[in-house]
Formats: sequence, structure tokens, C-alpha cells
Amino acid sequence: MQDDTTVISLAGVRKRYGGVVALAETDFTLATGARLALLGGSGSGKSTLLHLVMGLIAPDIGTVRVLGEEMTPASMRSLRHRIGYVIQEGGLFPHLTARRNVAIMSEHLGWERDREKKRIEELRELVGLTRDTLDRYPSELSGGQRQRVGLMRALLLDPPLLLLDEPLGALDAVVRRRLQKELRGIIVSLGKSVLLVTHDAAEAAALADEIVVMAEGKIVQRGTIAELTRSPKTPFVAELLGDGGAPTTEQA
Amino acid sequence: MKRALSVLLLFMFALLAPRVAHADGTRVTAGSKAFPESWILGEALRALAAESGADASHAKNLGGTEITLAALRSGAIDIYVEYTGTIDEVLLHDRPQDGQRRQALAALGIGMSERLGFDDSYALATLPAIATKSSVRSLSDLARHPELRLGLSHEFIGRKDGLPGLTARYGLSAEGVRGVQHELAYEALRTGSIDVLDVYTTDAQIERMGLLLLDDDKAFFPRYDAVLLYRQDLPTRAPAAFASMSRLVGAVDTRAMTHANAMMAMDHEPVEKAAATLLPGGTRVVPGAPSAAAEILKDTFRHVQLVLASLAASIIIGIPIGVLASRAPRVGPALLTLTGVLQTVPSLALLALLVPLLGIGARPAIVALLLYGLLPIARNTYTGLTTITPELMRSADALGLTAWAKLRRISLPLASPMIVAGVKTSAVINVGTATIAALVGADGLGNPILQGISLRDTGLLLRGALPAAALALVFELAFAGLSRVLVPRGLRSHGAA
Repeated sequence: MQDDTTVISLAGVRKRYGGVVALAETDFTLATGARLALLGGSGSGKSTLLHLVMGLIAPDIGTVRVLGEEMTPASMRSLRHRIGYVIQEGGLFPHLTARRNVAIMSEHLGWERDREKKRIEELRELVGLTRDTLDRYPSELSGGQRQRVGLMRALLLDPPLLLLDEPLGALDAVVRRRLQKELRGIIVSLGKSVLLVTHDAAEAAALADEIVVMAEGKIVQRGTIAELTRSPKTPFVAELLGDGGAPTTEQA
Repeated sequence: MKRALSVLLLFMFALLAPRVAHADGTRVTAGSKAFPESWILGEALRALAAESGADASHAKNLGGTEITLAALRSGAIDIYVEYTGTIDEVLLHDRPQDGQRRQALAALGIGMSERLGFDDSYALATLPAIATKSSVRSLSDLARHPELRLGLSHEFIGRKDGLPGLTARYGLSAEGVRGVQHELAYEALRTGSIDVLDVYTTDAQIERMGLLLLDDDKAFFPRYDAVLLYRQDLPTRAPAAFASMSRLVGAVDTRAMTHANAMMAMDHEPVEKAAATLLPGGTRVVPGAPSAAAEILKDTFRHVQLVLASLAASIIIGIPIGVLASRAPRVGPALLTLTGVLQTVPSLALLALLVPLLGIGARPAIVALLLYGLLPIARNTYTGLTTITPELMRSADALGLTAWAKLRRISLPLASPMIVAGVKTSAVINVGTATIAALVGADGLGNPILQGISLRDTGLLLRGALPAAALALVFELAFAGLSRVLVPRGLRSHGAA
């Protein structure tokens, strides 16, 4: 089941909190280079699945494999170096300048200064920020700028897998649409595998090629946006995609 | 941050390091308890030892007999004046002869001199007008007048040879007895808020206020002959100083002691001057007491030392406790509760526990202050760490840092506004609490405050209280400045300390 063509695989994974099933017994795989969105409301299990992939929580039963290795306390740290994580507002630490937010891991790993500088410069050009932006603190940046800095941080170690956790949730609609396009462009050009978690069908359609709809801790349906729109398995899927599907066709 | 810490550490070690011996190698420390007569005698001992050429010092205001005895046994002081009745009460259980007393003391490594010549017994006293009105002349009479209000010193209320024994012997009712600081009780009697108080028979106020001592008609109170208690090694270690101090033996009668007490308590003369009247060979010129300004400066500097040293220790211990509490869901809250409980232990009780372990001086004071300072620092560290938003914690986790690196680079800096606020709270609390240091001979601004209370000398009291208040303010302001250095810029808008 696990080979070079798979970056994430969950086999018979279940997670409960007390009596509440957060994720029913689930099998799931993500192919190398694929861009997939987990789409669902709160309590659907999409965040639980993401946290399992990051090793933030451990499954009750089943195994989680990421990038060819089982996620265990021993493998967790080195695996996380190969996973880029992007969250709302970039998850920036308010006590560090944008530059130092980006450079946390290169400082921690003891990179040479030149190497660090060069890498940050590459990333800055990639996300389209000006140099002086990087010397500001997060509170002095706009929402879009914070998001770009967050992406730079996630990409610093050139991870093959990106996890996007409601990444653009805090932005207004105009900025959001522009960033969706840019983000997709960057991801596609870098050839990263992407797992996106969102409650917004438009965002799922904009950033991912394939969608997994989740509800009540279970995977309801998996398919391309076109497939799901054409033949939704349940009324819930139809409703979820109702207003999100249309504008994305032009972007694809 | 690091430099500030190392400066604090330096302070602490400077205080903990044993003092360097004086040139002639003979160091003698006289002790005294927290009442004027004891200070005068301690000061007289110091002066006599100094006359013999020793490097003599005087540890004043030790907080009670247990603390003073512990200080003597641990070698923190070498000698002090005690009363036979008190020795019996604390060390022995019946009324022994001198021989038994000596034996019991020798077992503790303590020697006892012959009597100095005066007897400072307990007595109950009242104003003549009250005595006449209720026709109370003796303690037996007093027992028949439960309407009379007793205001007694806390030590008297607690001692077997005080109130408990008295109620047993005379059938006196202990109900409605109020605990009043000894010197304040005289004032309370004068203003009519109490009718009867306990006195030491050498108190100057007895004569000045014309008090009537109630007759101990059932011979309850033992004799309280003043004697020297000293470490048994003192006569061989410092023979000249010991010989010189021994000249007090047989040389201080009740009249001389009462007179010296009156000089301090009624006329507000400095202790050095009162002590000089007791020195054998008549009054001699004493070196002028240091100026008030110099004293205030010295006490304030010492106070700051104590606060900074204990604060450094509180930080070094408190932050790890807060960190541990935030990570260990079971042990953590228990630890925080413990630091909370520590803060409720009365200072005198805490000091009494610490002195047998640490002697007297800066050490027990710093340890007590550090324990009192733990709670705000540990709790704020805990709160700061546990209120970081889940999004930021997830972002931190996702990086793949080691636990230590995550704490150092992310969690602690994010919690720093709270931590700095906690340190500030500790510092300001400690400025106030450090006045208790005087009770274990650590000096500081507690000295003038304690003496000011005992002597009912407002000027003296303010000499301690005002600088202490000013210090609290200075610390408050200093921390406002310090938080600008310690709290990262990006966090400051969120209301740092």
C-alpha cells in the first residue's frame, strides 16, 4: 500500500475522545504530487485527520504513515521537518520579526548565515514580498502579508508535503481570491503534495484538484470537483458544493 | 536578561558567603531579642568585646527565644543575655536548681554565667485608679474580677510560665484576653482600652506611669535572673573578649537596668548610649552613633540586597515550577497549590522553622522571602504558558523543534509579559515582607521599624517605613523600564507589565 507514489496513508485509523467519535475507522491515502482538500463543517473529522497526519494526536487504533514512515513519537520530529504547515494568519509568532519567524528552523538547525540568507531571499521573491516587510513584526503586517510570511516559513526546509489548515480563513474576500490564485500557482510550480483542510467549497475548488467530503467523523465522498458536482452521493454533498462549485471551473 | 540575572546571583552569593574574619582573627557576635532591654545588653556585650580588641558585632532583634537559642547553637551568635525563668520554660520542664540548668545547657554546647545582678520577672500590672475602684491588689483578687480587660503580649499568652500557667494556678479566666504588642499595651492601658497588662519588672514605664504590680500571692512566677548564655567554645576561642564581657556579671542591678531601659523607651536615646551606662567602670564616652542618614542608607542598601537575592532565587525556582505545572497535568496544579500554601505560612513561624536549619542572618531571611515570592512567578509563568492560543501552539508543534527549543524560542517569550508581571509582583511584595528579615538578624529596614514599634518612636519607625515604601515605588518603576528590555517588541502592545 505504501510506496513512493503515496505521501500520506491512514490504515484503519480511529480516534475517539471519551464517547465521542472524532474519526470513525478510516482508510485514506494521498498520492505524491496530488492536491487534495478535506471539506466539511466543524465536527466533521477533517481537523482530526489533519492532526493525526501531523502527529499532534495519536490514533486509538490503526497506523498513520507519512512520507514512507510511520508517525511515532520517535519519528515525529524528523517527519515534521519534511512537512510544511500553514495556518490562518500564517500562525506567526508575535514576538519575532517576519524574518525570524521564517528562520526559526534554520536557526535551530544551525544553518550557515549565507545559506539562510540566500534561502530567505529565494522564498521572498517566490511569495512576492518586499525586503523591508521582513523586518517588521507580525502586528505591523497586513493579513495578506502575514499569510505570505507563513508560507515562507512552511517552505523553508523545502518539504515535499504541505498541510494547509484553513489557510486563508481570516482574509477579506478580494485579498482572499487573489491569494488563492497565487498560492495555487506557487504550489503547482513547486510540485508539492498538498492536503488542505477547509469548510469552504470555493477554497477547496481553488486550491485542490480532488476533494474528500467529510461529515460526522466519516469520509462521505471522494472525487474531483466536477465529479462531486455532477453526481453528489448525498444531499449534504450537493448542498456543500452548491454555491462553491461554479466559479472554480474557470480557474481550473 | 542574562546580565541582570548574573548580577542578582552575585548579590545572592555575596550574602551567603561567610563573612571574612577580621585581622586579629577573633570574631565575636552578641545577640539580642526583639525588645529594648535585650538590645541594650547585646550592645553592652558588643562594646565590651570590642574593647578587648575583638571584631565584635551585634545581631539585633532575633524573633524569640527559640530562634535566638538556635542561633547560639548554630554559631551564628556567640553570646546573649537570657533569663533563668525563660531557660526553664523553654529547655526544662520543672523548676530546677542552677546545677540542673547548667547540665541541660551543657548538653546543648551552651555555657551559663552567674547572675548579672537583676531580676526581670513577669508581673501583671494595672493603674492605681482601677485597682482602687475594683479593690484588686493581688492576682487572686484579679481572678475574682472577670470584668477587668486583660491585654497581654503574645509571648506571655503562649508561654507555660505565662497565661496558661497563670489561669491554672489562680483560676483566672483566659476568655476575652487580647493579644497586644508589649509596648503598645502601655498605651492601651493609658487610653483605657485595657485594664491589666503584663510587664517586665524592669520596664521603665512602671515607675513613670506609677503602675501597681499585682501581688503574686500564690508564688506562681519564677525568678528571671539575667545570665549570660554563650557557646562553650567562646572562653577558649576568644578569652580576652569573654573576660571583658564577663565583667557584666554581678555588675547590673535592677535600678541600673531600669534606668537604661527608661533612657531608650522614654527618652528615645540611642541604644549605644543606654548600653554605655551599664559598662563596668562607669559611663564612658561612646563613639557617636552613626548619623541617621548613614543608618537609613545602610538599612536600605541591605534591604535591596535581601530583596534582589531572594527575587533571583524565586525566579530561578519559580519559572521552572510554572513550566512543569503547565506540562504535568497532575503534578503541576499540586505544585502551584504548594507554593500557594507556602505563602499562607506566617512569617514568624516560617522563620522559626528555618533558623535551626540555616542559622540566623541573611540565609533564613532570603529563603523565607524566596518562598513567599514563588507563587506570583510560578503562577504567572503557568498562566502565560497555558494561555497561548491553540493556533500558535500548533504552529510551534508543527515546526519539529525539540521540546526545549520550543520552550526557549517560542513558549517562554510568548509568556514573557505575564512572567515579568509576576516577577514585579514578587518584588513589590518582597520589599514589604523583607522587613521580617530583621527578626533573624538579617537587618534591613525592618530594624528601625521593629525598634520604632517597640519604643513607640514614630520617627524611628518612619526611618524604616518611608524608605520601604519608596523602594516599592522604585521597584514598580524599574520594572516598567525593565519590561521594555525583557518583553520582545512584538508583544508589548498587548499590555506588558
